[in-house]
This record gives sequence, structure tokens and C-alpha cells, in this order.
Amino acid sequence: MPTPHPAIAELRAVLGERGVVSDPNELRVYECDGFPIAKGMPIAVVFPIDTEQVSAAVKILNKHNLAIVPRGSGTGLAGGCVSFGDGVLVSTSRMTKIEKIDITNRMAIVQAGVRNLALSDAVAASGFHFSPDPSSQRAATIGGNAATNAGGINTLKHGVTVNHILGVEMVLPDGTIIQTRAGQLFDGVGPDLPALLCGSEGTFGIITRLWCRLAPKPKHFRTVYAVFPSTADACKTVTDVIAAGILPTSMEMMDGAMIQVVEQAFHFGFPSDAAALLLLEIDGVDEVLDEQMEAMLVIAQKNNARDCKRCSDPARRAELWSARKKAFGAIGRISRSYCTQDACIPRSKLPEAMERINAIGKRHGLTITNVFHAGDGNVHPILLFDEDKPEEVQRTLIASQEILEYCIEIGGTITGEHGVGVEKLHLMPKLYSAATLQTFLSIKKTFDPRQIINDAKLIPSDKLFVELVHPVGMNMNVSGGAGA
Amino acid sequence: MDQTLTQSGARVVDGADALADLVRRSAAQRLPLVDYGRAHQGLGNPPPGEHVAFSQVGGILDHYERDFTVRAAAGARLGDLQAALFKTRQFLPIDADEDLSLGEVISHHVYGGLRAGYGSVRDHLLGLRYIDCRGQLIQAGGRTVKNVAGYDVTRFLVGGLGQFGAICEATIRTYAVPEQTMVVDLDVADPAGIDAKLSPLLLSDATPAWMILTRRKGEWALQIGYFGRLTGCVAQLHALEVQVSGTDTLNIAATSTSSTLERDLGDLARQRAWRRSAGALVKIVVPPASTGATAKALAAWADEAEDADELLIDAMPVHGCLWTGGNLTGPAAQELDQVILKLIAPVGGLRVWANRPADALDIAPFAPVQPDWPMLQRLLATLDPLSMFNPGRFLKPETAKP
Ligand SMILES: Cc1cc2nc3c(=O)[nH]c(=O)nc-3n(C[C@H](O)[C@H](O)[C@H](O)COP(=O)(O)OP(=O)(O)OC[C@H]3O[C@@H](n4cnc5c(N)ncnc54)[C@H](O)[C@@H]3O)c2cc1C
Repeated sequence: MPTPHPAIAELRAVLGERGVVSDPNELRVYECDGFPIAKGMPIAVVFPIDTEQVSAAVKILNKHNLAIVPRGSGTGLAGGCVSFGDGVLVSTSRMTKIEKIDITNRMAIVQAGVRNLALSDAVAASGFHFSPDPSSQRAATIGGNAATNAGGINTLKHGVTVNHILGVEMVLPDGTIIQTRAGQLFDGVGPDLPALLCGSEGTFGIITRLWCRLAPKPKHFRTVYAVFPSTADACKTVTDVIAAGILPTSMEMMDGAMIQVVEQAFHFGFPSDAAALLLLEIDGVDEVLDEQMEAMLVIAQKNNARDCKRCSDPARRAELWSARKKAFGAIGRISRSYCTQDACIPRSKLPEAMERINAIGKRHGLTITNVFHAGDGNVHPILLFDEDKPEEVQRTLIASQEILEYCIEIGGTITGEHGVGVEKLHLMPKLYSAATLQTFLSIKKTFDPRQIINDAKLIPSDKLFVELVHPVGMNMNVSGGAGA
Repeated sequence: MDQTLTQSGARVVDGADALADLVRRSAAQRLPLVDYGRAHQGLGNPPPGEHVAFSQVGGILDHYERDFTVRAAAGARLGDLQAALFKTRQFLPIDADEDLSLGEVISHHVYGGLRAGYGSVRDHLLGLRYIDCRGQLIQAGGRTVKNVAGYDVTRFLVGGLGQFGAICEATIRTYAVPEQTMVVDLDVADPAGIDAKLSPLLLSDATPAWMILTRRKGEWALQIGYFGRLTGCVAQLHALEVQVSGTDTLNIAATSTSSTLERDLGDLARQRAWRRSAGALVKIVVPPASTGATAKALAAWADEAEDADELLIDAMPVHGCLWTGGNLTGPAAQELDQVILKLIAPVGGLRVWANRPADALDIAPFAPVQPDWPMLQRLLATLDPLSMFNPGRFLKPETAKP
């Protein structure tokens, strides 16, 4: 048994026995997040229960020069909450208090470890909800959602997390507690600090408390799905629907391989020979929804949709969305390992992008399947591989890189919702100029002058070497993945 | 000494390269650059005596029509942008004056009643390019609907009052022009009564595309707009009737439908035209459910005060924002400020003076102190260490105190 780090006893003195885990066996579950290609073992994990404890713990870690890594539920898909050096994870999993619900002002104050769905459940009777809806919403924390600026299925119409966060409290790496503009207000003075903190991936500090905007939960929906003979037809339907002035809540697409996976798992009766399926939903004033739904179906049919089904039964609708949200889990049926990409491209480029992604897969002898937020142009190509074949792993990573580089070329970005973490660090210089990256680094240093919190993530540097592109010979395991 | 910099009048800059060049030349001479916009000259502390004033040329750089996205120069006038977009049945849901540039809208987080249904420019903005104090082009965000690669500097600059860099272009989401609009005018017996009605209204089908409470010549009026198909607007009107029936606070006075959004946007602009000439103008932000009560209290003060009975008010109850003012004397503005500060203290609100009468310039432009100002100060020191952009307008370079 190695000697425990001297910081551990100090942390225990502040956080109590339950507040610190340092047994290597117990630490195993913290060695990766939903991107298991990147693994790293922390020295310890601490579980503060409030802002003051976070601040006290951070001061101790600072004193001992230990790297600090914020962690919510660990559902991230970019290795963001993993410690790759001598680091300690600061978990918010015991910070689960909903501190205030103010329906008349459509606002709730929560601790960062409150799960996304827990807040919506808590306000359900009021008719309001917390709108961001990542597929991981049952598990993911609101702090994690803010730190990654998580999106979801209904973001096309209702926005991503940043659109629903009014204020943030954060503990900086030196233990200082900062708060953004008056949290209960929908506007402030000067630049928008809450927006800068959202999506900062734990590289500025630890978010401890959030002022969340509550939005009216849509009451009336129409859900349809349409089956297409080609992905190009389905993609064209997506752009045509939006060009017709309809703004759906969600436009989700699955390709042929994915339809089969979902069909095997959930038995919806989707045709097994379909090349693509679009799941479309609109919400709004009941009186116009039928008309809009018919307009969408006409567009789908014009684009060769073979089979269009209206789905007005709420139970059936719930099943469909549940299947969509569980689609990633079902991939395990056809491949033990897979790697999900998260590029976002201009919507009008979807048809050519799908073609190119498939061509890249073919060239590298890989199966790539797709289930994604088509309305946002947020593609999630899923590359299937066998983790026991290092050469195949390598082809997978090279193909992933080619896909992302292509997406940048056509005006897209490398990540629409999962974040950069360590996974996409090497692509940041392809997306941003040196001056822009330098600006990011200066901003980071303003919050974290000693660069001890989630350092070397999000911004490329030569400090952290998590080799993902050429995994042969790397000291890492490659196993399953997850996705949105 | 570069004589061209110090010549009188504002320099009109055409494009990112020219702007970068201007920044570099000004930085070399330690001459700050100043752009307070057209409609916000009185907002914040005045610029330093020696400075280079500038504005930018406009223009649409790309309209990705099928993506409902437009990339425009920061100098593009909102009216020109809307006119070009209307030709393709698209528009920007930003009800700001048409002579404002896109950069001014972003830097001042300008919004109106349309925020109720569409959100503000903060929600529509996808990417920005700006020139930093070293004359470098910085690219934030991009042209996709979602993008979480790197820090969200794009949204950070919204409301930044031009102190963190000179925005040179923006990429922004556009929306389809609605087929039909319906405007509903309501009489308001008691503005404070709106506060309790708001949440039920937003939960019903009567959710508005825009909503504005106004006080003119001592009279209150609430205007609500609906967008969409005629059947939808009618259904929303019925839902509104249900919401207001049985209350003695609100009463539907008139409704009108039209199929020209341009006209409605023009009407909204005329409604707020007073703000451009008001010698005293202040923006107040309170929690949404305090909007009506705040408006009522302001009116009560105006009724009692000398020289203030013409106090005008525009309030956006959905977001807790109020604009108030008129042609007040200095002492009346001072008194109004004290009233506002007393009103907003218990609810944690804030206020910003956009115009102060000449004899009331000692009113602090921003109050009360917000918890994030020290952090913003540190960020300013990082991003504009040379104090090149609108120095001291909001955050003062040396003192950390706005
Ligand atoms: C099955 C599945 C489906 C998914 N679907 C979606 C989807 O639809 N949309 C989407 O956007 N994402 C999705 N994700 C990704 C993931 O769920 C989100 O990124 C989520 O927001 C992460 O929350 P978390 O609490 O698990 O954070 P973690 O994974 O613990 O951390 C993620 C990042 O945030 C930082 N962080 C976490 N908490 C804090 C805090 N309190 N303060 C500062 N930094 C913090 C971490 O350091 C790390 O960088 C999915 C993941 C899975 C496994």
C-alpha cells in the first residue's frame, strides 16, 4: 500500500470520512468518463456538500500543488472529468439541494450536483421545466450541463444550456468564491460572464450553485416519423422543412444500420431495409400543429419518403423518444466498442457530409452508423471497432480525425455539445487561429493563474500527452463509448 | 505622430483589416479608440479627452439562406439587414432602431418586447470576429447552430459596451417571417396586477411573441403580439381572453391583424422613439414578477413629483426590464434615481442610466455594484491591457470600480 498523500488527512479533517475516497480499488470507477479511451487514476476523490466545503478543499489542494479536476456525474464524452496527473477529483455528487423554486419569477436556485431531470421533476406540477434535455439527463448534473453547455433533442427550438442559465456561483482554484451578476435577473450590466462560464469545461473553477431559468413545458405536440430510401433524401427533408419556415422542436435522424439496431432492441416495426429515418416533433399552439405536421409530411414525401407515420398517442410518442435516447446503448448489440463523434455543420451541408462520412468509413474498412440531431446539423457518426485489434483502433481514430477535419472544411465545428476535453485538443488549432487560442489561454489564466484546475484540457498545449491519434503502443485501454 | 489619427470627426473603417490597422496605429500612440454607438452616446462614463472616434462600414457578407444564418459586418445597419432579409422572407427578431449597427445591438444587448417570444441577440448569435488590442483578429464561435469548441467569447461580448475589443463581424440566426401577425391592445387598470398574471399567461396558449407595457400621458396600456398562421393567432387570442376574463386588471380594448411584419416592427420603433430624445433615460432590471409593481411605483412618484408628470415608461414584464425617463430636470432625475434605488434594493434589481441631464452627471451610471464586477475587471485587464477600447466607460482601467 503506497503512503497516502499528506493532503488526504487534511481533506478528511475538513470533509469527514465520507467526504474523501482514496482507496485505489474504490477509485477505479473514477478513472474515466463516457469516453473510456482516455483513462487516468486520481489520487483521491472528494465529495463536498456545499460551497464552503468546496472552497476549503480547493485551498488544501492548492497548498499541496495538486491538480484539481471538477466532476459531476462523469457522463461526459471527452475525458474532461478525468485526472491525468497527480490530481484530485472534486465531485459534486453530494451537492444535490434544490435551494429555491420561484415559479412567479420562473427561476430555481440549485446546487451544482442536482441532476438535470431532478429539477424538472421538482417543478413538474407548476407546468414549468428546466428545458435543456441531454439524453443523459437522468444522470448528468446541472453543473456538468453548464460546464459543457450541454444540448439535447429539443435545442433547435428551445436552446442549449447557456440559454437557460441566469447566474453561476463558482469556486476559483485558489478557493475564492465568485458569483456572476444578480442571478435572479434576466439581464445584467456589462459583458455576459455567465455565458463565458458555461462551456468552460471545468477549466476556470468549480461551479457550485446555479440560477436556472424555468421555461413553460410545451403541452401540445405532433410527432411523426418518415422512412427514406437514402440518407440524402432524409437530409434534404430536414433543410426543406426549415426553409419552409417551420421550426420543429426536434429533428432526429438515424441511418439504416442504426434503424436495425433500434428495431432489434425495441421492435417498433421500422422497415429493416430503410436507409434513413427521420423523427420529427413540433410543439406549440394546438390549432396549428396538424397543419404544420401535414406540411412536413408533404415535404418528406416530395423527398421520396416511403413510409410516414403520425404519432398522436402520448404513450407511443414517449416510447419513440425513449428509443431515441437509448439508441446509443443499443449499439452494444452490434459492436463491443464504438467511438462517437460530435461535429456540427451548417444544416444545408448534411447530404454531402453524410456521403463523405460513409466514404471515409469505407476507405478505412470501418462501419460507421449515425443517429443525430439533424435539425441542428449536429452529426454523431459512430465508428464501430474491435478494441482487441490495435490496428483497427488506429484506423478508427484516423477516420474520426478525417471526419472532423472535413467538417471544419465545410464551415463546421469539431464539437456541437460534447466539448473538447482531451479528446479533441489536437483539432483546436485546425479550428482556431493561434491568436484566438492565445486569447482562450489568457482567459483561462485570469481565472486560474497557476493553471491547476483541469489544466491542459480544452486548450492544446504540450503539457498533457493523452495520445489518441496513434494508439498503438499507448498505455491505454479502448473500450465502449456512449453518445447523445 | 500619425496626424491622420488625430484629425477631427469619426474615422469610418471598412473591413477587419482596416480596423486591425487602426487599432495597431492607435495602440502605437496610446490613443484609445472610442465607439459608443448612435443611440448610446450618454451611456456610461464619458470617453477620455484624447481619443480616436470610429465607426464601421456595413454590409451583408454572406446570407446562408437555407441555413437561416447571416454573416454581416458589425457596421451593418439593422434596417438594411432587415430589408435584405425580408426579400427572402426571413428576419432578425430584434426590435432595435433601424439606424443602429449590428455591433451596437450586440455591444449594448439591445432588445425589446420581441424577446418574449424569440429571445434576445444573446440567443441568436452564433459567432463573432473582433479585433483585440494588439490588432489581431480573434474568431469566436462560428456559423453552426451549436458549437462548444473553446470558450464562449461570442456571448461574453454581448453587453460588453465595447470595452473588450472591436467587433468587426457577426454571424447570427435568422427566422422565417410569420405569415400573419396579430396585435392585441389591452387597457390596464393596475400595472402591478400583471405580475401575478404572467406565469399563468406564459403557461397558456396565450404566450406572446411580444409584450410591452407602456405609460404615456399618465395612461397605461399593454400590447401583446402574436405571430403565425391566422388560425394560430386566433386561438392565442381566445386563450388570452380566458386569461383576462374575470380580472379587473386587464381588458382587451382592440385587436388588429396584418400580414406585414415590417409594419409591426415600424410601429414598435415609433412606440419607443421617445427614448432617442429623452434627456433622462434609465434602464431598470428587476425579477420579472416585480415589473408591474415597479412600474406602478415609478408612476406614483411621477404623479407626486414636480416636473415629472410626463414620465414615460416602457416595460417588458416577461424579462423584468423597464425603460423610464423623459425630459426631466437634473434635480428631478436625481430624485428619480433615489426612488429607483429604493425600489430595486429589496428585489435585487439593478439600473443603468442611458442619458443623464447635463446638470445630473454626478448620478453614478451603473448601480448597485454587482458581484461579478471584480472578475470582469480582471478579464478586462487581460483582454485589453492597453485600455484601448472605450476606456472607463463601464469598467475603469485603474480602479476596478465602475
Ligand atoms: C448516454 C449519454 C448520452 C448523452 N447525451 C448527451 C446529449 O444529448 N447532449 C449533450 O450535450 N451531452 C450528452 N452527453 C454528454 C454528457 O452527458 C454531458 O456532457 C453532460 O453535461 C455532462 O454532465 P456530468 O454531470 O456527467 O459532467 P461530467 O461528465 O462529470 O463532467 C463533464 C465536464 O464538465 C466539468 N464539470 C462537471 N461538473 C462541474 C462543475 N460543477 N463545475 C465545473 N466543471 C464541472 C468536468 O470537469 C468535465 O470537464 C451524453 C452522455 C452519455 C453518456
